[in-house]
Amino acid sequence: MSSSAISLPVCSCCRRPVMPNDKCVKFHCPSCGEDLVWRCQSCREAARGYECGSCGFAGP
Amino acid sequence: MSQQAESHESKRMLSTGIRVGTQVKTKFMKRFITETTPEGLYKLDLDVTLRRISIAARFISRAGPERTLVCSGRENANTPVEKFCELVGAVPKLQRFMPGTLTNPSLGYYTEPGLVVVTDPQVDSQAVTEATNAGIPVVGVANTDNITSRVDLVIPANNRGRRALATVYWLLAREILLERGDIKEREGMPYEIDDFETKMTEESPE
Repeated sequence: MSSSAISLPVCSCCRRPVMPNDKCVKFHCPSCGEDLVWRCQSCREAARGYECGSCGFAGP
Repeated sequence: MSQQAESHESKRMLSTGIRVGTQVKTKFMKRFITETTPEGLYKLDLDVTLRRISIAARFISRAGPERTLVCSGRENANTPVEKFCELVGAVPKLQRFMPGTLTNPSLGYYTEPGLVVVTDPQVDSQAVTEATNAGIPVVGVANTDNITSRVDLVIPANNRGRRALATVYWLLAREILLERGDIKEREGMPYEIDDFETKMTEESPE
């Protein structure tokens, strides 16, 4: 029997894996539209900042 | 745009009160505040506001204006939101935000937008909550006293004044039209800021 690993998306603010039942959000960077930004529930709640890897835009 | 034209526009924006905040400052909005007036009013950074408006315009253009829901529970924002939606093709949601609009598919008024724009995160808290539950990104116009939890892109600006709100939505509409190529230059806007302003009607005494 082979086992397969699931790769979870990582929150762009806290770098923790985003759980499937999390009320998260994903969107492309508002400034350049290249990087995909993930924000987990707790980071959205605390308004923790995120940064785009390609253009350096810091939100929210 | 030339430097002279840019400074002329900055002066015009300043006269609309777009950067005038309140006497309350939250930790969320601290980084957008530049100065305090002798009366104790906090003032927002105009450059950041204008930069954020152009970023928000790009964000809305990419998501598709027809898939953007613009919410406002404020009476002062009715005309600006209507005009903005008419120009760019977004969907307006004025007055009361009916619960379940974004989360209950069995309702007749259920919609699935790609982006939600709110005029005030506190007044439109129902829209912000439902967008969070549905996993929809939120763009919010926030004043110095706003809590920006669950907002994914903040536009720091005065969201109380009639003229300030008209300016914010006028600028946003202009940037989206420029982004789409509907207008060639910044001076080619079909409407003026005055057309975006909610007019106060006085009741005549009987």
